[in-house]
Amino acid sequence: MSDQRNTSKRDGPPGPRETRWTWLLLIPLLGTLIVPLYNTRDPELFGLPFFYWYQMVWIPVSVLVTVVVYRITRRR
Amino acid sequence: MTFAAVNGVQLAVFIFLFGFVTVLGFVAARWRRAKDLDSLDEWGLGGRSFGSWITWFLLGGDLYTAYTFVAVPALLFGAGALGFFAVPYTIIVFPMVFLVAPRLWSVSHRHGYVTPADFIRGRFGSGSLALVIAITGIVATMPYIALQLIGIEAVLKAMGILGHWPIIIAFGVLAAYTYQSGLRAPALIAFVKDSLIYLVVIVAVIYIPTQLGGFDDIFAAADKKFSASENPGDGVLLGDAAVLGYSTLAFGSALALFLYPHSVTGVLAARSRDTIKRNMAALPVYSIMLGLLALLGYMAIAAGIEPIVTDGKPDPNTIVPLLFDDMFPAWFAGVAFGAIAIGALVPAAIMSIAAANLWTRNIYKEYLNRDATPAQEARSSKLASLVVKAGAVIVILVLDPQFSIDLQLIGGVVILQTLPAIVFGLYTRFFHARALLAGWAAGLAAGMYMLYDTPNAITGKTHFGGPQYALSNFGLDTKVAIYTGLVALLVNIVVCVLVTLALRAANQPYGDDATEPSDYVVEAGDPGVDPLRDAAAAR
Repeated sequence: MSDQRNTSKRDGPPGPRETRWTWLLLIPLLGTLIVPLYNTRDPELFGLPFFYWYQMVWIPVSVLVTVVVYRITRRR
Repeated sequence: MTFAAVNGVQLAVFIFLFGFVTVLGFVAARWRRAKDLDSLDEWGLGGRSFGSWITWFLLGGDLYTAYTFVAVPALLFGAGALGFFAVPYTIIVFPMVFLVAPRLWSVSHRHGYVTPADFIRGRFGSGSLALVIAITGIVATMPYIALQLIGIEAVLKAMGILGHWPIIIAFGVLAAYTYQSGLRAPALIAFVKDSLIYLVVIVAVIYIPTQLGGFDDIFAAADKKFSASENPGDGVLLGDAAVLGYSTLAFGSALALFLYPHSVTGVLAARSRDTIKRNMAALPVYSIMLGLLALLGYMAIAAGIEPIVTDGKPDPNTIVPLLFDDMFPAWFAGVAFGAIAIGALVPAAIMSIAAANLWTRNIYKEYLNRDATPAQEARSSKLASLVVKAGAVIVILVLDPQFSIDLQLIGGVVILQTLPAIVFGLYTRFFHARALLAGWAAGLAAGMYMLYDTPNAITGKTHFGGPQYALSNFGLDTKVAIYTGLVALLVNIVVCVLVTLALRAANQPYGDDATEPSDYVVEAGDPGVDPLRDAAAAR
């Protein structure tokens, strides 16, 4: 993002304060790619081993994170 | 071909749904109608006008293909937890693409780029690098289209329809309406496809477990199967040696997904930068469906489903259709089969359009007809889309289906080698075009060698046994394996950096960069962003 210039206030790209928030996008990667965190059977949920429902839970979390970053970095 | 076991009701529902989307496909030419479809912006990108909802259905239909719906449960059925990698893969892909795709959208709209190779041509001023990116894209896409046919074939087999003629008819029809309507056809059909798939999945994951005694019993059955098998790598949890392979496969697949030409086509068809960002937040909803679908593989185990055997080989892709056939009344099984088949048509159409656009823009216009008019471009793409689909049908008819699956595996490793040029290129001009070429070649060679060097103990294959390369090959004392594509990408990047530094030291000049830093952040409505409207205004 080195080449973002600040043009006019209305349609300029997000400034540094906003782009800092994009680091939040790393959260879903950390949550799902560190497999030893969740490669276990217990606790089960509705008979589903932890391995399965834990990863499914990350779907709404990832959506939430992306929405937050989208809202903060959106042009106004 | 036989009809012995065909259920009339099931077949009737299936044919009705298929006929319905065929009509939609032709009507699509007039949907959100343009004055004419005689340009790639219209035929190949749907007028670059799709808003948030259409883009969501289009990209969802494009990325979550019928083959995924059939093959992911089949993987869990056969190997267990490893198959679930599709879920983290489709979770992490969107936050990553959230950063990159809007930049590609902006620069492409600013300069009228239709394909990723168009962007490379403009950014690096190198025809040869653009050609390599285009050919890589076409080569990686072809087997992907063939896989969609395998998805349809699995459904037909489960219905008791054997023989190749239904596939030829299905693809003939698909080719005809794609030819006429371009990207509008899959965009419109995607609404039907996804509504049906959501309906089927919701019914399946609520109804089927109740018939099988709940998830406790389902997982107990899966456990029993895997502990009885001789394969040490299967199980409802990952073995220690498989952990790194699981996460690197998810990560590498996520990096590759948006390098595929058909993903780029879906992104560039969006109306605005904002549309893409919203979609990156909303698209993971499909992953919920994918995760639930994946579990159908275990339900098939619990239900005692045995894959259909053709030519002496069991076809695991038939287990989901067979499960539906077993569990649902005939009419709803027909709906489910229709959903899967239609689910194959949408991505197949988009993929053939994307491959055709690469051909037209980066080979035909670049080397065969430099002064091609927009109408000639559209004509060239339409014809190329027919050739691409015919090619996919021939591949399925002539070659062993396993060959397509191997090719697709290779395709993922291949397309990943375009990452430095496309993704890094969106951010920096540090890399020299010739260095990117060298890195591409080195990554490709390394990837091919490693895939060739991978045996598969379970299937007994000595080469191209899977996408995981054992770290013991590097002299490490471990059973751990890592996703081949990621290793190849690493080789690629290292070569790109080293060769760039060498060329810089030797004062080798860079090609012209047609883009400006501000081009990467422009939004629809900004001056010069809408080539279509600007062209219309100039008339």
